Amino acid sequence: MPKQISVWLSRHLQVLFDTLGRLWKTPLTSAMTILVLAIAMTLPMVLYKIVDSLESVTANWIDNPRISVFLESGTDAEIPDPIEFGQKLLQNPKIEDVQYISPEQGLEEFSNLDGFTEAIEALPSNPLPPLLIVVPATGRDNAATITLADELEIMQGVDTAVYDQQWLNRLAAIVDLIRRGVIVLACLMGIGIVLVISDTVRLGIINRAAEIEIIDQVGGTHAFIRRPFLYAGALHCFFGALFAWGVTNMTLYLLAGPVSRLTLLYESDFMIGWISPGIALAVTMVAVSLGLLASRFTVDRHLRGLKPG
Amino acid sequence: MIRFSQVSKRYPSGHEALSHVSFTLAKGSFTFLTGHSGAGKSTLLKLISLSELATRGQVLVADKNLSRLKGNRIAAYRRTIGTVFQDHKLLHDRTVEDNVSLPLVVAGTGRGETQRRVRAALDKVGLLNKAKRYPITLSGGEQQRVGIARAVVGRPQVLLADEPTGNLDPALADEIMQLFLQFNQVDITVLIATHDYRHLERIRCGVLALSEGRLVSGEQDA
Ligand SMILES: Nc1ncnc2c1ncn2[C@@H]1O[C@H](COP(=O)(O)OP(=O)(O)OP(=O)(O)O)[C@@H](O)[C@H]1O
Ligand SMILES: [Mg+2]
Repeated sequence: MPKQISVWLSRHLQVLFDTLGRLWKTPLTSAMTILVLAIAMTLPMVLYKIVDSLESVTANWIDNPRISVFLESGTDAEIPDPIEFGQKLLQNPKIEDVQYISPEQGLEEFSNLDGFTEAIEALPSNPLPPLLIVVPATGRDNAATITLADELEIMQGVDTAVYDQQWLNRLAAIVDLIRRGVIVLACLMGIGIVLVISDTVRLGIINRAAEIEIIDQVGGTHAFIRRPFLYAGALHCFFGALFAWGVTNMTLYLLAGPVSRLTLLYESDFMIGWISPGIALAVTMVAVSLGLLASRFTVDRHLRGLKPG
Repeated sequence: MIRFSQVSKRYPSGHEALSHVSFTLAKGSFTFLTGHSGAGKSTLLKLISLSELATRGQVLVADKNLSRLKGNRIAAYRRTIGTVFQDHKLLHDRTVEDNVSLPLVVAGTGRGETQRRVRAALDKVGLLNKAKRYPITLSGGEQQRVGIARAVVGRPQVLLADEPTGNLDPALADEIMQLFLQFNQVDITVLIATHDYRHLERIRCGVLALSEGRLVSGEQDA
């Protein structure tokens, strides 16, 4: 039994190295095919990663709603002290937490952002009102949050209480739309991979038609004839996936700068990060399976033409 | 060993290349297959090598009904048959020894055993010193001998040859015939299609003569 396994293994290794050798012999053609496959895999991966990150951020926002309570500013005696006001709010059982952001703190945060520094320096005085960030105790209960915001707004000393649910809903809808787009794109790219591999294998068969005929004639099984083409299909996709992994991370790296600058404006801890090894592995496995399927289908169509049919 | 009963072969074009052919070849026999061009010699050999299927009748080889074989059984059967083609059918991007080893590689024979048997086969046809050459650098007769080495390397029960001496000079043709006779000594059943009537006179053997797809002389039993 171990002998059979070692024979089987050495046969497969031989085909593997033979196929690698063939890829290496036509470097330009191989590289171009692999590049096309890599592009087909990169696009959905990059989009997926963006959607995935956006989704986690919006989910975070929806799960932990916040009401921005802008207080009236001035030295009027009727205007309460923001810190005392915050303490008072904390006694409300519908409120979980209150965070005070003074006008000075607000200004400082703004001046940390690109492009704002000079504008702020030009201001004669601090235009920002005192701000209380209120975290409702009702979690993602949307209606409760809206009611609470309404209650807060009519309190004395409050200028406005903002809870912009519509904006969040719209963002969630957009994210959902892109997510579906990723699925459609991934399916289209899968079809693309099948077509590219079918064509590559078809050309390989044409180049080796004489060899196939002779192998068939001297008693090679169809499995034997099929094997190098299955390896070719699988290897193209494997290298394509490896390449796509690299290109995806490079793209994400290039996007990371602008995206973090953009999202800083919305006070989030949005991070694009790298594609996870699990996703990359899954993409590799799907691509290799598609490659195997496409080459199997293509070779079988040719084998049916061999006699006796 | 080989038994045809009322075998007819009609090509899809409608041409009937063989009609009602019946004969039996004993194990270890040596037989020439003759006939004019277009008589159906190649067709008859193709039925035995299972490159074509009979339209009617039965072809039995080593008690196997060839029309019943399917899939991997066809491949396994073909490994018991060695075929020499008139046009050699060698792979020009592989060395002589790689060409000869093909039937063994396909059969999954171990590396050491393969090497040993390839050398033995090449030695037999006198080409051991050209094992590393490419077929294109060999003469026509040498290429034909590479084809013969490939046909016998798998130790087939049956050796088929389609005009193996077709375009060789008489001395070379005789040499190759001697090779076939030697293989016959080790109990391989040999069937050779030929135009060359010189051999028929010199070698004591059976003869199947075809004309217009009919057997006109040879064993008519079965
Ligand atoms: N694949 C094919 N399709 C249609 N007709 C064919 C096919 N192969 C052979 N034939 C026809 O069958 C007949 C017998 O052909 P075959 O090749 O068996 O003759 P042959 O005896 O080998 O002739 P030659 O000595 O010229 O090689 C011929 O008339 C040929 O035209
Ligand atoms: Mg012929």
